[in-house]
Amino acid sequence: MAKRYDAIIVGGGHNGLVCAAYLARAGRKVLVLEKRRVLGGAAVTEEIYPGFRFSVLSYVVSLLRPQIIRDLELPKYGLEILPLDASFLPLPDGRSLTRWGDWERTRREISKFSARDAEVLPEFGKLMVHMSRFVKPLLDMAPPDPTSFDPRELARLGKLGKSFTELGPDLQRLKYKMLTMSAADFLDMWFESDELKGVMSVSGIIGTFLGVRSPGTAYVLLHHYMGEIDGVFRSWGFSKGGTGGVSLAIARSAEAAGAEIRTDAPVAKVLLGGDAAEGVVLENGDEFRAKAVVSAVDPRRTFFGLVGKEHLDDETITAIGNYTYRGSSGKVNLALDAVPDFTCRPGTGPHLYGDIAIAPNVRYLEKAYDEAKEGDFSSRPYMNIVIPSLSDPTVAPPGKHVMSIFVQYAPYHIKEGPEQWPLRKDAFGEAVLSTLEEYCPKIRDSILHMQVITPWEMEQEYGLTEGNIFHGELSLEQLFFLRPTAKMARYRTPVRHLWMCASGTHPGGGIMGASGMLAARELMKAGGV
Amino acid sequence: MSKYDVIVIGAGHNGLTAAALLAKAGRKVLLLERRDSIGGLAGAVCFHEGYSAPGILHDTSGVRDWVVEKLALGKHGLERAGKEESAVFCPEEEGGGLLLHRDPEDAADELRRVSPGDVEGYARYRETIVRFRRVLEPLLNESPPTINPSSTGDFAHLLRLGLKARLLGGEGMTGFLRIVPMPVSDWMDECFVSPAVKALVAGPAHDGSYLGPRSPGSAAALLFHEAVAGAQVKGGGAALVGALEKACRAAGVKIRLSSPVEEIRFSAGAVNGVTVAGDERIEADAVA
Repeated sequence: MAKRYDAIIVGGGHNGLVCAAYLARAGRKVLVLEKRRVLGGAAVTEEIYPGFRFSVLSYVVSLLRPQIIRDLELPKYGLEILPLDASFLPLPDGRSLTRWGDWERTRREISKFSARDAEVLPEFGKLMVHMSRFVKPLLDMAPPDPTSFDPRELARLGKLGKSFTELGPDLQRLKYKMLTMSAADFLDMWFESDELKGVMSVSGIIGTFLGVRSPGTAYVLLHHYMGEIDGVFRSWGFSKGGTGGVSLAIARSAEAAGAEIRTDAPVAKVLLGGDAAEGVVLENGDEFRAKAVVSAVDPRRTFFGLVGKEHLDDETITAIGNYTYRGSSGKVNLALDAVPDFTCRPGTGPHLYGDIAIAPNVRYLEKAYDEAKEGDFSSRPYMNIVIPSLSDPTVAPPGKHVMSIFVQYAPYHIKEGPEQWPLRKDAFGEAVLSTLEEYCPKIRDSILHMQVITPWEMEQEYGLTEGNIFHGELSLEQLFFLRPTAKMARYRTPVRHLWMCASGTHPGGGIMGASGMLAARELMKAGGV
Repeated sequence: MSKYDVIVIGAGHNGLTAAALLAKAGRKVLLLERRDSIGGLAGAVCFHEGYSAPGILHDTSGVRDWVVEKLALGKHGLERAGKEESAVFCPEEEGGGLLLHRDPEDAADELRRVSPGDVEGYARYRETIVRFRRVLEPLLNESPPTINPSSTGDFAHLLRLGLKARLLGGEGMTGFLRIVPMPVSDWMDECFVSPAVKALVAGPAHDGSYLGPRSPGSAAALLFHEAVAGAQVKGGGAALVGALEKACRAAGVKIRLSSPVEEIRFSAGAVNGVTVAGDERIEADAVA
C-alpha cells in the first residue's frame, strides 16, 4: 500500500494549491491531485496556439488576499502583478469614456458626459471604499454560526454587529439598501449619465444569472472596490505570464514546503470507511490514504461525484441539490497579428492597456439578460476585454497580441439543452465577433486563431459545474454562513474527515485564495490533520 | 374655529383606521378626504348606475385581527368569510382547472387529481409557512425596529426580534434566512413539481411589485403575503371601509369629504395645521 498522507487535496486550482501550501508550511504531509495536465483549474494559462499564451478562463487578478501573498512568499516564487491603469468604454456612436488611475484625467473624461457625475464620482468612490471596509474583514474569517449558543460564536456575531454600528446611521441605511437594491437603481441615486451607469453597473452582474436591474446586484458593486494590490484599493492587474502564473507561484511555494503535486491524476472516488473519508482512488485504480481529504472541486462534484449519493443522507442530498450554479458566461480568446483598432479612438494607446468594456448603457445590458432568460445567448452581449500582451510581451510573439474576451450572457441552460452547446458554439463565437466589429470593424482581418469556450466546455473540460465560474451562484442565499449550505459553511462536511476548500465555500468567487487559506486554518484548528 | 389634536389626511382604509384609533384614545380628530367618498383604493367604485365594483385593492385577507378587535368592527357590521373563500382557482387551457385551498387537507383531493406529486409538498410548504408566520406576523403588528439602535429600548426591540428568530430553531432560522433573498421561482422549484401549482402559489409574490418570479427577493414578497393572509372580509373592501367609517363616527371622528388639503402649515419649525382648498386654515397639534 502507498504511503499515507496527512491531507489529500482533490483539484489543483488556485484554492486547492493555497490550502496545500498552508498545510505543507505547517509541516503536514500533503498530496495534491489534479485531473488535467496543467495546474490552475480556472486560473490557468495554456499555449492553445503556437507562441500565444492564453489565460483561458480567469484573466485578471484583484482580490488575491495580501496576507496570502505574504505568507506564501509568492513574489519569491514568481508572482508579479502588472497593474491595469485604465478602463475603456468604446461607444457605438463614436464617443468613448476612459476611466484612469489618475483622478483628474477621469474627471475630464466623465465631464464630457455629465459635469455633475464628474463631481459626484470621487465622493461615491470614497463612500464605497469606506463601506467595503465593513465587508473586507469578512473575507478573511470563517463565517460564524448564527444558530449557535456557543459564547465564542456569539462573540463573533457581536463583533460583526459592532463593526456595523461603527459605520454610523447614514452608511448603515445605505448598506441595508445596497443588500436588496439593483445595481442600476443604486447608481441612479448618484449618477445621470447612462453611459457611466451602464459601465459601472456591470460590476454587479459578472458571473451571475441576473441583470443589472435585478434586486441584489448593488451589493456586488462593493466587491469591486475591495480589489487591492500592494494595499492599494481598487486596483486590478494581470499576472505576468498569464493568470496561470498565480497558480504556478502558489504551487512552487507549496512544493518548496514539501507538498507533493501530481497532474494527470483524475480522482474517481473518495474512499470511505464507514461514515469517514479515508483517502481517494484515481480513475486508473491507484489508491492514496490520508487523515483528511480536502475537496477543491465544487460542492455538486464533491458530493454527487466523488462521494456518491448512496453514501449521503436525504437532507444533504436535498441541500446540495438545491445549491444553484446556472453559469451565465463564456470566453473567447483571440490570437491577433496586430493591435485592434477602435473606431472611436483609433490607434494603439494607454487606453487599451486596461480593460475594455462593451456595455454602452443599462438598457443594452438588460436586453442582453432578457435573451438569456429565454434560454439563448445574448446576440449583443456584455463583454469585458483585455489585451495582456500590450503590457506583458511574454504572452505573444513579438508584434502579435492576445485578446481575452469575457462574454455574458451565455447561459449554460440554453433552450435546446446544455448538451446541445457544441452545435451553438460557432453561432456564439459569431455573435461575439459581430458585436466586436461594431467597435473594431477590421478585427476579423487580424485574427490568427480563435478559441471559443462555452459554459458546456467550462463544465466538461475545466470541471466547473454548469459552467459557473464561482463554483455556485454568489447570491445572498448562498453566501457567508449559507455557502454552500448552512450545515457545511465552515469547510466541514457531513462526511467525517472530508473537507472543502474552494470557491463553493465562504467567501468564494474570483482569485482570492481566501477559501483555501481559511479551510487549511479550520482543518488544523479542529485537529483534523 | 376649533383646534384639533390630530388631522388625518386621506380617508383610505389606513387613514380611517388611524383616525378611529386616535379618537378612541380620546383625541379630537379631523379626517380630511379629497374625493367625495371615503375608502381610497379600498372603496367600491360605482362605474355604471347600479353596478359597483371592488376598489383597486380588493384583497382584504391582510386586515389585522387586533384592529378588528380594538375598533370592535364586528359590532359595526364587519364579518370575516369562511375558509372556502381563501381558495384560489386557476383555470387551465385544457379545461378543468385547479382550485387550491389554503388548508392542505382541503387541498389534497384536488391536488391528487391535478398533480399527485405535490400533495405532500404542499403540506410541507404550509407547515413551513405556519412556522415562519410565528416570527413574521408579530413583526407586522408593531412598528419597524431601527437598524441603528441608540437607546436601551431600541436594543431591547432588536434583541426581542433576534430571540424570536432563534425560536425557529437552528435549521428553521437558517432556512428562513436562505429563503428571504431568493427568487420565488427557485423556492417554488424546491417545493413543487407541477408548473401550475408553482405559479398558483407564487402568484401573490408579484402583486403590485415590479419584480418577476426570477428576481431575487420575490420569495420575501410571498412570505410577507403568507404571513398576513387570513380570512377575507365579507363584502370586500367596501364592507371594510363601511365598518371603519362607523367606528370613526362612533369614536367621534369628524369626517369631511371633498376637502383637498393644499399644504401642511408650519410655525417655528413644527407642523401646526393644514390649509384646505379655498384657503381655509385648520389648526392641529399633529398631522398624519
